[in-house]
Amino acid sequence: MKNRTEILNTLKEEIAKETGAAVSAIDDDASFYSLGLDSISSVFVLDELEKKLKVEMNPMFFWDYPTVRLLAEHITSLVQR
Amino acid sequence: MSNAYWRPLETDSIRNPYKMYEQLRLTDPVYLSQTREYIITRYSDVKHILKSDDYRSGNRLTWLKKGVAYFDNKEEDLRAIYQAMNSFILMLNDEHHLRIRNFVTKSWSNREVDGIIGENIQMLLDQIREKEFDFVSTFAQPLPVYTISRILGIPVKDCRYLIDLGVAMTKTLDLYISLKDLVLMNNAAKEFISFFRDHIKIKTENPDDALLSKMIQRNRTENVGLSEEELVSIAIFLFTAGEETSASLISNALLNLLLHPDQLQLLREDPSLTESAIEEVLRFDSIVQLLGRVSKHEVVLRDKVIPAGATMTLVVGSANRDEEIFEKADQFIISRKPNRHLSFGSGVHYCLGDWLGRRQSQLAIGNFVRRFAGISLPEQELTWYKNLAVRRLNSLKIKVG
Repeated sequence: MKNRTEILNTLKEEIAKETGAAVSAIDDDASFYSLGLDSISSVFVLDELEKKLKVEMNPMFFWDYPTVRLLAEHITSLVQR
Repeated sequence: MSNAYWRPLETDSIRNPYKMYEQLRLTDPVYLSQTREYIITRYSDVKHILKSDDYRSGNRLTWLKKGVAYFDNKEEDLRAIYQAMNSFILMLNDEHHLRIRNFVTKSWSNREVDGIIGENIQMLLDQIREKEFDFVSTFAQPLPVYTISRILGIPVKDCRYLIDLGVAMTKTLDLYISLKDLVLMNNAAKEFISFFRDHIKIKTENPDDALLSKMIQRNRTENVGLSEEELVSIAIFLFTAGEETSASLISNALLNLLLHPDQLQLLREDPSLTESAIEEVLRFDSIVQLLGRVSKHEVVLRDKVIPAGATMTLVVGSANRDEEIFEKADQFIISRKPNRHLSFGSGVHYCLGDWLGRRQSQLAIGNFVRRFAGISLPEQELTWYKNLAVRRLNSLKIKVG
């Protein structure tokens, strides 16, 4: 089972891959929008996360938990459930 | 759980979206959601936007087109989705919309459908042997497939197969979808395209009196100039729109009558209430819950300044429950008149097949209730299609006697 830090890192890696930013440059509290994701690329990123983390993603996650920190916390709570 | 007022995919909202709608209507009827859409929940606003020239249709089509291009770069080929949808009438605008819409209405001159529907109903009723069965898969879903197939003039070899394709294609109305949904839609789109391509070929060589042949002929004789791809898309649209929505309307009709036994009793005593009963189902549990529009330029709505290009999500299911328009809006009253619900839309995009959906549901419910003197609802957990855009029951177990 993955812990919060691992989930947070996976999330950052996926966003970095998609946006071309460096992992270290991704702020935990920056919104996905400001990082360059949108309603289309988020579909792809959520699918990648679903495969990597083996947790079912809901398309609303991108909007309801709109930062790396919030989404990582939410996924952690799902994994631990 | 999210803190936002807009919770379109949460189980509670799917089961009963009307509480969420009411909260939105009362607190913020032009609500800028976390999804960056304006959620419009009051009747007068929904109707105004549907009729206004300040907004256009087709935001889903634009989104899907962008999505298909994006995923092409990821080596995920979703092009069939856009190909299948290129002439979906409800997503087109201006001249393009008028051209396709006129073409369909002019080809579809024969509105004598009672005979076809009546035969299909008898056939399905005669096949029922069990005392307890799923109303959706036994009756509500196959009926419209048989009907629209006969209207179009295509054979129903595998009803289940066509139903599954229709269900997948209806996802084009869903907001907030996953890549898995897109892949499913794409597979269905491919199947549909090849199915109708084959039948257009057959009907070109051996025309008959049905709608598909008439469209092919009209396209040729009137020099309409539609490509095969456009004809295929129109056929997919007519099939899906004629099938999925009617199936849901018939299911929702029986469910609401069973949940309100006094109203079912009223209908049994006075069958002339069937028409207004179907209107009340349309109002009370609208099949299409959400419609999309985009602002063409900056507009002001209820003192809110809305920028050009904003996505407007019109909540038809909420407009239909607006107390400003409907007395006792949360009550299911089959004799309600007038009943100016917005379930078929309003303005230039007003549903082309409203008469068919209405007539088919009236005949279906009228005949079903007449056939079985006792219909009851065994204990079950009702589950709905997982997306709020379309209010469709997954199944409806009933007992007849």
